[in-house]
Amino acid sequence: MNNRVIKVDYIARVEGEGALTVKTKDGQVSDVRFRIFEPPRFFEAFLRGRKFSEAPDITARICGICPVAYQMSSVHAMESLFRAKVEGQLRELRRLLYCGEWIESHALHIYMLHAPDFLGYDDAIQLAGDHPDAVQRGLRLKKTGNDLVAVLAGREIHPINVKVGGFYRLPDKSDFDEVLESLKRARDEAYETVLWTSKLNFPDFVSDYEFVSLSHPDEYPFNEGKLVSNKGLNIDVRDYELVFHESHIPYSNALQSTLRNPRSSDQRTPAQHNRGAYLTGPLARLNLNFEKLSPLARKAAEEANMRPPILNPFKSIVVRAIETLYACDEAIRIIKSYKPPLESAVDYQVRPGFGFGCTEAPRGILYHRYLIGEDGLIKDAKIVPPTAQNQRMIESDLRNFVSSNIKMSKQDLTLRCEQVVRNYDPCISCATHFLRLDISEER
Amino acid sequence: MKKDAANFGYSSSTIVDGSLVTIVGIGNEFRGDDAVGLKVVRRLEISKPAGVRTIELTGDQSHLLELMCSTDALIIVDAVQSSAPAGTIFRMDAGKERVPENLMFFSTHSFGSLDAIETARTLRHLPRCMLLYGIVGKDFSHKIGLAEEVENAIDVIEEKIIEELDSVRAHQNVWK
Repeated sequence: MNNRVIKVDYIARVEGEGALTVKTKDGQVSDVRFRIFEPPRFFEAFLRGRKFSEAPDITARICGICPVAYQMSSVHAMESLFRAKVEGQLRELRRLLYCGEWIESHALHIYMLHAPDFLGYDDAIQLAGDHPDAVQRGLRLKKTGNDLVAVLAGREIHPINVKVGGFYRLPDKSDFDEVLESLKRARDEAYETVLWTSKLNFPDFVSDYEFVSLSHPDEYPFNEGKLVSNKGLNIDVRDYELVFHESHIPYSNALQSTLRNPRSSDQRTPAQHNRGAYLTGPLARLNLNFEKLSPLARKAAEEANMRPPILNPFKSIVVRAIETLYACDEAIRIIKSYKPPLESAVDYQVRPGFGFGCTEAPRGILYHRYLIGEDGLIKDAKIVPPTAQNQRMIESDLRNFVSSNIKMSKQDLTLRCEQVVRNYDPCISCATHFLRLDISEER
Repeated sequence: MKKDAANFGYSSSTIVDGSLVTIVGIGNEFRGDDAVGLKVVRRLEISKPAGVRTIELTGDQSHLLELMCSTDALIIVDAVQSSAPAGTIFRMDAGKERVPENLMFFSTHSFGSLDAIETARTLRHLPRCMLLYGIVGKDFSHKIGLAEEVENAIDVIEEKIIEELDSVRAHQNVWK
């Protein structure tokens, strides 16, 4: 029987570059390798010796799609060490900032990167030709997210207003007047997006995932909560490294994350100790936090037949639409109840030691850990982006998808493999629009 | 410095004096020569004529679509990957012609400048003047700093863009 190789040599425009290879032999998948190169490793070194207060703005440069997420994880890490409590309206403003980032990131992915897959187009340019109204709707949604970030963060492209303890400058209530009107329209268009995406044709594919996300007793998670999974994980963020392990793999510069049971006195065997790949991101968040959605977002989800468990990763496009709707709804709620606090930031005492932070970037949990010295300088930094965490699950999905569609034509299978990658992450997804593909059969 | 004579000279697009002109430098400070677009607009921030705004775009380039809707003339400066020698400057009138597919604008992010331009063209959102300056980079690895050939191109491209803007002003009746 022929052996087949599905090979994508170079994935650019990602949170690092990558490549994809799937090999089959005698009708079985023999090897799957999804490789990425991670810029955070570079930034971890770059942060050493810098002042703790520089971390939010330096790490925001890691990703142009989700700078807010990097800022948020870094400030929460510092605040955990300095015992700073950011509460009330300051906390609400942080949620509001995250709403803006989710709206702009999700809208970009849904309309410009993911939708073309389901409608048979190579890219958003072709989609815009046949469906200009849909693309315009996506661009309007995205602009609303951009505008919200700009009001709160000083500018929409690289936010500069976030600092440890709060913000440098607080917005007036009237600063939100214009964006509030945009959000009301965006909320309607996000609802429309949920229904529009739910009518797309999805490949018949499900998997028994371990979903991991933050979970908070009172709210859909952005900034805070415990790390939970649908298979029993329930830990504080500071215990992240007890159960999430990064390891080098020979074919990639990136570290792969896996989930393990914490070591305990029950003397588990290695097989019992390793839980393996896990999925973080919108699909995990929705499955684990569905009841925390706003009533409107739940209504839209139910109208779109999207009640958990949702185990088809191709439906992540609908999940992103639901989260976009939630973010619009939540942003409107926060703005309507906003009363500028007296101080733009809380006081704190700089202390040496380890600080831990984990927040929900649009693509999933983003973990930061810093070691701060007596002088307030960063001695060590660890940053684990969602892309790296999903890397092994992407490989697992590719393996399972190819195994169950082994008779599909090379062309279709390659396209579907690209889609499997795009299901996970806007940065990687976009990269697959930029791929040089090479599929060959070996005899 | 090698330049493509056919691609230099002034645009046949219409830049009307007094209209809003925006110059966007695209790049990533931490990816070697990818930062050249940012360096160019930092120079132009000082040397530009009045009434011209400069913007640094360091990530998501779909922002270009929004900028195109809010300006009469947009000049994009970005690093490119090409077989041409490092430091080579390309100039294209993207309002008049599609950007060649073999000229790859380096981007570490999702929706690149070419995607934005072509999507805007499809949606009929292109500004009245849409120019693209590309500087061929040499090293896009994770590092800070430009290759010497790329660094040397900054003076040239700054001068060309200033000339372009001055020419527009001097010949506004012709250009209208």
